[in-house]
Amino acid sequence: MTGSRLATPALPSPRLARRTLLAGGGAALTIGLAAPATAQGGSLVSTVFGGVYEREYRKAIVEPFERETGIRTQLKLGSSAEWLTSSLVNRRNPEIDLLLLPYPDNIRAVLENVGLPLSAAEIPNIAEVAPVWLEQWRGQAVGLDYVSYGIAYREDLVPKPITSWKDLWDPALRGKVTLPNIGVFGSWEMIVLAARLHGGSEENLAPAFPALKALRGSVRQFFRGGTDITNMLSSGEAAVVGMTTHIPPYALIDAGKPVRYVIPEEGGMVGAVSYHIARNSRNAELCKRFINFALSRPVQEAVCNGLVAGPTNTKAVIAERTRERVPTLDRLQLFDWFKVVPQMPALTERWNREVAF
Amino acid sequence: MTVAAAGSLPGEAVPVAKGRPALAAALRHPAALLLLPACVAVAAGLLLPILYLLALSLNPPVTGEVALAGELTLRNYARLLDWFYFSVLLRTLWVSAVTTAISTVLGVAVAHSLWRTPPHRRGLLVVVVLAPLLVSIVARTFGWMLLLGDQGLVNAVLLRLGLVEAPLHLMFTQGAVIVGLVHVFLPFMVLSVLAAYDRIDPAIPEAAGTLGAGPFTVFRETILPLLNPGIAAGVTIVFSLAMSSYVTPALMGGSGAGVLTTLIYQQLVVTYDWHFAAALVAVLLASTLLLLGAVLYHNARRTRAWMTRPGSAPR
Repeated sequence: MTGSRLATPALPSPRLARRTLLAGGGAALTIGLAAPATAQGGSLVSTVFGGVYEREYRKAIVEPFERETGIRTQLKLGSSAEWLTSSLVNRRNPEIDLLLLPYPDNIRAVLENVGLPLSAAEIPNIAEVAPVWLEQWRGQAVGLDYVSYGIAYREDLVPKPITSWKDLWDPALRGKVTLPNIGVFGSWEMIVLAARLHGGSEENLAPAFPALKALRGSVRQFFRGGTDITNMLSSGEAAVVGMTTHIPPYALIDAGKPVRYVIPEEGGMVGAVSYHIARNSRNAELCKRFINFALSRPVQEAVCNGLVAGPTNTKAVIAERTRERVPTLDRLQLFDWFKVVPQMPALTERWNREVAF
Repeated sequence: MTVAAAGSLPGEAVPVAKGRPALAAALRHPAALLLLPACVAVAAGLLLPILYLLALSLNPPVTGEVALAGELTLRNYARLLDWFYFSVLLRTLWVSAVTTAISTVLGVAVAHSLWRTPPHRRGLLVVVVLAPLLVSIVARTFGWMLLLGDQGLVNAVLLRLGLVEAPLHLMFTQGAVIVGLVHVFLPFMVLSVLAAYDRIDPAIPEAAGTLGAGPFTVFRETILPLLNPGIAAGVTIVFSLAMSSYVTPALMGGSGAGVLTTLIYQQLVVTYDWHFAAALVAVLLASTLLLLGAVLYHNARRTRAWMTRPGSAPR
């Protein structure tokens, strides 16, 4: 569930599991046999989210990288929780050389000391990356791209346009709102946001709960993934999605539905994915070349336009269409995940008791 | 397995259950050895993992730890002694009990009409009964959304007829969860009851009718007692499945419709607290077994009372 990044359903998919197996099997084969063509450049094992993400990621990063360097890159599909568990269990002899992880699993990875420290000395293109995308992970990882979290709504089903996070508490939206279920993407961001709106902070998340409890009457259902969002919004079952990336709403907008995606005036929240090189990887040097390639300006532009995401490389210039959909960082609010992650079990308990059940 | 166990419970179980001599007699037959592979498979695939999980529930909670530790504690269970967890357990039991009750009534009705159907048309009808099992749960849920949604068929009809002024919120409620569960589990009940119907000699209800009993009395006094083993089997299956269902409550329930399995999933996937999850599994398992045991015991007693009532032939 934590692994479903943007629009993947949260429920376990047998098909995905099979693909993961296949990918894993493929990785084992390539490592075991080391075909002559790849022996020259070597090979590394990394991770990727399934679906459209995989298609765009391969096209923009993996294929050109393999062509240019001869380094074979085996991608493992599955969920980020799975990849993180694998890197913890196989710490001494990692199965995955290069992890691509979303929040909050990339923070957990840093807390578990999974990744090697990364620097511009070894990965020159890091010099062009906004410092925040290294600081977020205490130098143990570097961001590939980011997306915003905002509010999506049906223009025809709400009484007035939504501009602020506080509009979610509008009594006119009773029974029309859907919020992320705990553990689903956006849920921790929702708790932090609700706390900040009501005088709290990452250290003091308590004010979030009375506020979310007050919102409970407005909630139609707690969604479990991107498919829930698109289904509820397109059927009109929910008129407002309280916390979502731009991906599910824009899928509906592109299909001609009367949907709007807004970054509220207080600032949207942020989703980001990051690269972590496993500490005991035998292919660490290859991973550094891969990261350097992915952070280079032209590749950042290609991957961000393909995925519709914001670049971490400050010199990258994204297309007009991407720019319209992904706000610049000054319209978004970051927070200290390291203060939130250790509180997660307690937050889940309070969420259950006071909000969801 | 459950079907056989439950099916043989009422009455018939009595002569076999005489303890060791019966067991020894069974073992003297070499055919009993044929059960060995099945026993090994059940032990390895079901009992061992459950025992491992139960052992895990007695270890102190450590986030992300799944290996067994030496230290034993009841801390995970102490955490359960709380009104919140008790209320979730009660809700789980309630949803499962209502699902089972509705499935039983509908299942007996459907099985009764199948029993009355000429054999050449029955095959097709059985396929219709099994249809919910042929459709994936996600497609099934979307089907219900089309029916029960705010802009769904039911609301459209109610609005058109002027019975309501605004659409009723039918989807994402506890009622929707029960509807979804009955939809999936009804075939299990129908098949169990139908098997019991097929063992009834059609001459028996006819004889009762000849002796002056009306249709309701015939059903209550002759058919229902004979159906009892089938109903007991159906109740066992449907109740256990309802207690352990996760996907239907997750997809069709709204806020305030969480059940025990929702909490278990969350502990495993969101907070990585396997030890507390194991304690929740133990509670789910124990409450299912206890309640089923009580129902089946009561059922067996009632069957015996029927069999030994004045005027019935000794068996």
